[in-house]
Amino acid sequence: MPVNDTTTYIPVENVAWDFEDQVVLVTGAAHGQGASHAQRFAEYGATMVVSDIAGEMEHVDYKLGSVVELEQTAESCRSFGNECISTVCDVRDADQVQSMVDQAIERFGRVDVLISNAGIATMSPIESMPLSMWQETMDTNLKGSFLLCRAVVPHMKEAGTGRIVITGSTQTVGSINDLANYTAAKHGVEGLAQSLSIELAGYDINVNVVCPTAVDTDINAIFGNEEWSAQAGALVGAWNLFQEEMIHEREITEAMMWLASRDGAQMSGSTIMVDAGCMAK
Amino acid sequence: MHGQVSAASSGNGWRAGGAPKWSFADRLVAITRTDGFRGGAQKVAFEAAGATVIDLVDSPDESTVERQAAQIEDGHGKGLDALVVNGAPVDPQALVEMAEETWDGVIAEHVTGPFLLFKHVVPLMGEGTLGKVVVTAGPETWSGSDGLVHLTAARHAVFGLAKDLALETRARKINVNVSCPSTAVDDAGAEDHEAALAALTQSVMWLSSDASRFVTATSIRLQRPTAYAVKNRTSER
Repeated sequence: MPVNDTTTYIPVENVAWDFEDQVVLVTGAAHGQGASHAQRFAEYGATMVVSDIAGEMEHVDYKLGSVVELEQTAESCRSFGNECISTVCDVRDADQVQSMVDQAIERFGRVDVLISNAGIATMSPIESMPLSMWQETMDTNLKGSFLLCRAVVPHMKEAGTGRIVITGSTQTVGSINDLANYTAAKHGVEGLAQSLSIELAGYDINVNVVCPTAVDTDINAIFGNEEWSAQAGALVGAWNLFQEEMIHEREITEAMMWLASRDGAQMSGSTIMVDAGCMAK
Repeated sequence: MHGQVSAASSGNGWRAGGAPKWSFADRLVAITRTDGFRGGAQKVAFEAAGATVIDLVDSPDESTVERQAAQIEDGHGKGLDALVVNGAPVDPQALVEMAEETWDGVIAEHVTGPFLLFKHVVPLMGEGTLGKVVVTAGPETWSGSDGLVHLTAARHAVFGLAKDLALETRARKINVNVSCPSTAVDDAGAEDHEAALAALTQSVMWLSSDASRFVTATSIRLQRPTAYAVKNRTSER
């Protein structure tokens, strides 16, 4: 497993995005990748809706986002001069998801971009994995995207346009031991995106998946087990061809923004690997 | 409605996401087949973004490629930022009717040519350059196609070649990727030719930029669901 160190981010120079007048909804936005996505979209002019479970989950051992962190993300978005509403939302709960989307529609009239980013990771060999652990990860990482899409798509259809980007993983296309729940869910989001892209083909609504390699956020704390890391390293090799450290979450945000921009018009049902060559082998 | 954002629209009603502004000022980009649809559009886009563009000949003859590389080095040292290798369409033919020369020609043009460019031109990406290699291919990179066994084999092969180059150049942090447009990109008569060409150009810009610096050894599928799939989708029967 790569080194979990404070990764230096080098600002991108070759591109300036434009999300003026766009309403962007980001889940899992209290910290980590979701917070990065939210802040960057806001920086380039978007009106934001940010959400997070902001609480504990039964099988998750590492630190999840908090209400305080969620509001910090919201304040950061507002600091760019744009409106931002924040909502505590468990994406496993259909009523909470619907309520969040209804709130966004009532306030802003539409949702132009959905970044379905909320996700967790829990680890166990299959034979000892509690069903509740399996369900918790499947419901957060896969069902959550289903519920969000189901709630947002009618509004995007009405608007005739929209962008959906789902956070995948290297485990969307690969696999590794003791992550059956996570791997199944992350494979599932690709299938969900591909199928939904066909359902939405005539509406200028695109659905794509971005697949990061190890990113320097709290979720990677679960990979601290030395024995597992040794096994994983032997199986996978380098998680990042370019550096030992994990990558900064803003590197993932760049891919999200590209797909959500006008440039993403001709891509739907696609999977973008931001994996620093991890899956090349 | 309180708090409702303005209903800004752009032309055809498109609203989701504005166009990014690219900046490649003082960057050097070498592009093959600039006399074709793909390379021509890329050249226009990169020059509009401030880059200096070198027109490259994609050839399976090593001496031709060596000469070009020497010319680049004479003029610019090891200051090449990006290399864009453009694929081209081929005529379909059933395998059982295919002459060996036909097969050899497609492999030479679509695999050996890129190999030679990788061998002689990529070393010109020195310290401080963006270090980007983009190959443009097609849907044959990931799927089979009736009557295109030579092109499909070639497209798959060049993707493998790109992945290997990515592994070999990782110490220099060179990104190597393949962008796969639809077949409309090479067909001026296709209804979505312009859109496909624009999508390919935009993907090449992104893959050549520092916004994609951790994207390597992968292929970008510039795809939308087919017209058949749209017409027959279950959700609206």
